[in-house]
Amino acid sequence: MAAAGNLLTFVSADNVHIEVERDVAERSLLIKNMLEDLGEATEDIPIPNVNEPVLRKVIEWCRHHKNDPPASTEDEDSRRKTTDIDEWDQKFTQVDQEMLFEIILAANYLDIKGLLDVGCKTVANMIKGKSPEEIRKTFNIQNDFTPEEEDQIRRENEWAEDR
Amino acid sequence: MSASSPVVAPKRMAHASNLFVIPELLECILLNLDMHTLLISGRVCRLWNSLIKTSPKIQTALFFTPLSKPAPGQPRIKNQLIIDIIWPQFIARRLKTRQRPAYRGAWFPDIRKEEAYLRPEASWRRMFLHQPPTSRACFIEGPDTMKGPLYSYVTWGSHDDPIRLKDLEHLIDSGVIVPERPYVFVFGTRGHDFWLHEHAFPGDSQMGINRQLAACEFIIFSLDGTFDEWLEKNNPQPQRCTKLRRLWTKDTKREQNKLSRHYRQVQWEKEFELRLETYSKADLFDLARVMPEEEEEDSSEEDSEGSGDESVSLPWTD
Repeated sequence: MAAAGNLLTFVSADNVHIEVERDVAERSLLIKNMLEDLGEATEDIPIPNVNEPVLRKVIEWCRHHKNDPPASTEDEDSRRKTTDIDEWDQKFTQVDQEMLFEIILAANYLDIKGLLDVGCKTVANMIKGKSPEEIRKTFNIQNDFTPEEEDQIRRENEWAEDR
Repeated sequence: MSASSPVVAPKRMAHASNLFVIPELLECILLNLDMHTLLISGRVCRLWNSLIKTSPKIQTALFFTPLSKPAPGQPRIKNQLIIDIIWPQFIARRLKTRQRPAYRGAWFPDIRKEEAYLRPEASWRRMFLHQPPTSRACFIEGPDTMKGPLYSYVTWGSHDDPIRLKDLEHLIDSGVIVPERPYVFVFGTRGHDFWLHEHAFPGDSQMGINRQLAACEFIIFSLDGTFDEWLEKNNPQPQRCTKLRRLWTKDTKREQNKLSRHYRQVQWEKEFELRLETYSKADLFDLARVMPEEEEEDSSEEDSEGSGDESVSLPWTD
């Protein structure tokens, strides 16, 4: 189906067609640049790597934030307001870890800076205050140091570790 | 599955790996951490460790690498880990294994932790006190006359080598400088020189201290006379304390306000040249930000748009 007027059609990796308003879709710099290059988009737009449930979440975020001012290029600015995540975004990111990571990867691929920041901050909040052991457990990360290597690193920073 | 066989990655782990394996994403996540968690999370795995060690942004966030291009007018940032942990837990305490003669504070509570701090490779030593760091300290001499305290900026090493915490370790352990609680980045030469704070910054000590710290790494209050006398007596790493410029005092400022405008202009130019010899442009920038504020303070009494500074060169190098 060709997209009419300001309505576009995304095709997810699992081949589901989803209609999106153009101004919502343009929260993604990847899509925005692509549309600028193409002029009128008459074809379905394939979004490889992103499955339907994730793509729907991403679109939901873009729709809510479609009137946000364009992302500032100075990343220093956004970094200053670290832990602040607005209420809607907090609710939005209350998903299981797998979905959260999929959203971040999709935001990275689609180049949606605001969503990427929210995702990274959410993951950072899951890490804050945890010991290295707890971090490994939270994300199922394997400790791939040799005991000697780990001891060397521990010796540098043990003054800051609790206990 | 036996305990020795490799753990088969469950579905979730695959996602975590996918995410963390992209350096920009892992960096973005880690830069949103507090400094404490960021520092210790190098022990999570090789991937995290190597990113933390090699990312310039993360090394800057940990105060190991100087902030390269501070935006003009951007205020300097204090090292929060020093404020939260290193100062109250370690610097301001007496140690069981090292004698800090002038200390009267609480003992370090945990001998294992004390050992961890005192290891040669302990990372706190490499930390800067502020970002961007300078190579300058402020020395405030106790009033020996009715004139009030004298302020000096002391160049403490070279520009390529800003002050790190390790530069203070020997001075602290030998009791030459003693932390002035409850303040951070503030030392006395005997400890408990509180009344000198009040003389130096009448009204709100913390505000005056912060104003000084906007331009230098730390403040030493001294009742032991001038900086050169103090230095001669204690000989604290003389290779790093190279120069002294007495920049201004409130009292001399008031004196000079009574003099002619012409005279003030001459003094200003003279002092400006002296500063140029001593400091690089980066330093001048810092000073320029501090000094007008000081003038404001005085302007209530008299119109004092001139620098009103006394500039006494006490070449230290011989």
